[in-house]
Amino acid sequence: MGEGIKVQRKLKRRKKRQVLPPEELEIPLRTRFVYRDPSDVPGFEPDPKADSAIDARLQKIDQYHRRAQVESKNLYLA
Amino acid sequence: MNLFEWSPQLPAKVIDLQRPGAALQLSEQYSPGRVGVLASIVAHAIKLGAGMAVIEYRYIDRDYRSENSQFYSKSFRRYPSVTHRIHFFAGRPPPELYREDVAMSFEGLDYLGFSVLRPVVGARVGRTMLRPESHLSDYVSCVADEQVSIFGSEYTVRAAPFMAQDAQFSVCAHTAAWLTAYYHHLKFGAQRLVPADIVAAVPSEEGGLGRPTPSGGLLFSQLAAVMQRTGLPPLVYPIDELDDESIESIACRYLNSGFPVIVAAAEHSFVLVGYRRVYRSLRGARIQFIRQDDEVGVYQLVENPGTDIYHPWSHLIVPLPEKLYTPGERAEAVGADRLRRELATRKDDAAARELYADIRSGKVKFRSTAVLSNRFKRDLADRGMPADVATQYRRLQMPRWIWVIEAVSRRERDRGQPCVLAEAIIDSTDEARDRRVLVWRVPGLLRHWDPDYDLVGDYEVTEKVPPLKSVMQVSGKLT
Repeated sequence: MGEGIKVQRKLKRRKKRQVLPPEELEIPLRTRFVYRDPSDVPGFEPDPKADSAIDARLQKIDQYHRRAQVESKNLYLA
Repeated sequence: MNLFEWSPQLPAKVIDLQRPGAALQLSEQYSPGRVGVLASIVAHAIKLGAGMAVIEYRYIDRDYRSENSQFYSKSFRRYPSVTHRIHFFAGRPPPELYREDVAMSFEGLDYLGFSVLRPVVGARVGRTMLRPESHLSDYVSCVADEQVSIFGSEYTVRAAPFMAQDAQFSVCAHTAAWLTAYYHHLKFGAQRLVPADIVAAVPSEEGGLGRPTPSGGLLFSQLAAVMQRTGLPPLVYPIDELDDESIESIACRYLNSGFPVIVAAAEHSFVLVGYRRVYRSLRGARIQFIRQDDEVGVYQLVENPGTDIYHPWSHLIVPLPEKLYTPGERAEAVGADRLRRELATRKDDAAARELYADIRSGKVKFRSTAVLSNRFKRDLADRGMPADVATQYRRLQMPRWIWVIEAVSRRERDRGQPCVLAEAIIDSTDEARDRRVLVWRVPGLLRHWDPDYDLVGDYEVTEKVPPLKSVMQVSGKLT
């Protein structure tokens, strides 16, 4: 058998091995969450009372962090 | 102990601490006539059950070396460049110690920790890692592991670091900064800083008029700037401005997370490393903090900040890893709001309805803990999360640091039982003006907000999830 034929057969065998579809080679790791747009999810609709309460709370927090930037520079620790 | 006596031609000396007067003699030998930090360290070791002390001579301590090279080597009085390190062990010295024909091994002993002693008469106690007493060990949340080698025998000590100021090169503020940085190094892999690094990081432009060395003290703003410059940018809380919060609510969030809290008080600073709830039959519970006070000793109980010897406390300074942007109280406000809204919509679920009612009546409170997300995922099963829910959690991509806001049954918490009924996960790097919750769980449902697609995913939890152990109890501890 000629060398050329041997090479051709080898290539053919390799090609056969490569025909596996990707889904058989790759296993996606999924979660079981079912996704939706937030506007379709109960509890995501605007709630003016709750929104303004949380806004006020966060503003207070931001305020004392801002004050900490500028005050009490002269406290002395020894 | 003079300059020449400091370096005997011996590798070490063993002291039987159970012999009458041995402990007192040990303190007296190093600090004659002074009732100070060393006496308090030795007393603590005795309370831990120390029966044997091994004094390791010629110990090269990286922290003292930095003090020596930057300060003590420049004085007229001569100071050795080496330290002594005292190791404390439970139990009496083994009998082979008294035999000359058998080489004593240090293997298999009950190791309690160590204290480095500086060759400086007025400031003996250097880097110290000593276990807390057993009745406090569950409450000292800022503990880290350090590996110790004693003549070829390896030991691990789990403790909150400690060091006493030398009142020259370092004062309380430097020492508080060093302690916090060393802890973050051991626990979270932050850079290793020595006292000279801390002193070098003090900014003169912050308004301090005194000489840097010998130091007469630091301004509060200089301390905060030191933490910034050493890679642990701090959140600063002016105590008078806290409004809806309190010292306890702010400090406990960070202590739950294993982050030490520096307190700037009247001319002194110290570091809180834990807290415990003390119950009084009629007046309910109150918080007792546990502090490392560099002028007193390790694991000191603070009965009440309002009547503390360092009253008034002025600021809380919380050095944090760089990637933890969101303050705990902000994370808690956002997480608690999401859980409330979610529960309010689940009127068909009896467990959700009951939880909502308990939150409104105050039977259920919120507790916040910052934790590494990998650790959170790893520990889900140990906290009692059913396998299927844990798997869904584990497959979600999360930032390195997350805030876990837990809805906690006060009754179960007070009984020491698993008490977490729901939780919300906050991305610690999230936008300040677009508040989002990454994942949240309420009875019957686990929800995820996908930040890439801006979609909300539901996973119905069909199995009943029992009350879980808190993340601070499981993931906050080193394993």
